[in-house]
Amino acid sequence: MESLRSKRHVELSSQQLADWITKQPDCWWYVDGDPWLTSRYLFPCPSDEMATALEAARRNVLILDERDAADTEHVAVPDELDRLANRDNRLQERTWLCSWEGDAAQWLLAEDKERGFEE
Amino acid sequence: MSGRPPIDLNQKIRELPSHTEPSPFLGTAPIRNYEQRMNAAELAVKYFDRHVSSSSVYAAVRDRHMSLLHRMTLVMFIEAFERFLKELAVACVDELGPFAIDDRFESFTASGSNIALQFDSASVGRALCESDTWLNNRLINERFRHVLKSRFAAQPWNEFVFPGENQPPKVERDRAASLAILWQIRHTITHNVGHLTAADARRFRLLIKSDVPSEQLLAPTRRDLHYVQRFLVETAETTNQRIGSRLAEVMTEFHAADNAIFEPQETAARLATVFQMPLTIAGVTATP
Repeated sequence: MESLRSKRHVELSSQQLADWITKQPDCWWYVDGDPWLTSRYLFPCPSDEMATALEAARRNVLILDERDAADTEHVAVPDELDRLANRDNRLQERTWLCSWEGDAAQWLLAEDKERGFEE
Repeated sequence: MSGRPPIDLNQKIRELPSHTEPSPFLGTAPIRNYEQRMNAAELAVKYFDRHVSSSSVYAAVRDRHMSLLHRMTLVMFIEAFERFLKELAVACVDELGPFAIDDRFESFTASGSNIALQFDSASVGRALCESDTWLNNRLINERFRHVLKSRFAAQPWNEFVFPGENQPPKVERDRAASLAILWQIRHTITHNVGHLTAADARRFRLLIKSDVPSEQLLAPTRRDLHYVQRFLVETAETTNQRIGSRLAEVMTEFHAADNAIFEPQETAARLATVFQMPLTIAGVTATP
């Protein structure tokens, strides 16, 4: 599998990503495809659980940047992660293609607008 | 040339078992494997649901196909739970096997042939546990109660993993009753492709204590799937804790009878990893 490092991407720590998730307390999230996270946490989950999971990972995350090259200079990660999100799905849920630094496996981080059917 | 081309279907079927991919579920901790399997099944449904545009499909056709996918996923959830129970049992038998010379393994029904098939695995637990099905509260209780009984005890462990009425612990009875319903749902989908026969409906009537329509197709919703997923994961976590704690107690009993039989630190560390929880054996506590 081709690593995200060989494609246009941004890089941030899992702690930074957790902090960003914490600032969106009303959201639900899920991770699709990462064995470490999906064997330890039940998805979808609310923001506090997602942030806890990312804090525990203690690794850097690469996130695919699919924008035009000309837009790159405007992004300040993690504050503008919204601009990196792919919304091409039925509910326009924000989705990011990710991988851990040093690991070729790719996985999705996405919001869950159905809020886990728990409300 | 018109019509279907001839294909050697016998050969195609023989080729099928070699079509594989690396398994992501090979960890040593059953609870980790289980949660990964459950997330994978739920997220597969979600992935297709979120990427099938409502504007580009016929809703009735989409709903029919999603209903089938939901039934398949529900069975995956329940059979993943069966696999989890087997992996727990394998861990218990492998740990106790070298020391137990009593009758604790007599509840298994593995035949000589099934045991021989596991020769390469070098695991007594796999040989005894993997050929049986674990789809029935009574049989699951019987096996764990015998495997986890006290050293040379005449009676099995006094707890039931999934207790029925009047069986301890009382706090687990509702959960066990709900699990019995899921075993029956698995039976209906697996053996009757989701068709609720009159016999199925009668069984559900007894389990749920209310009427269930017969001669209908079971049609679980995504919301149903999510609730089953959460119920089974919470049940797995509780079961993992109870079995892990009990195994540590039994190992402590064996060590008390012969303190040269194993090294508590090493055993506690290994079991803490397998059960993903702090465990104390013969006064030595280890964390995963």
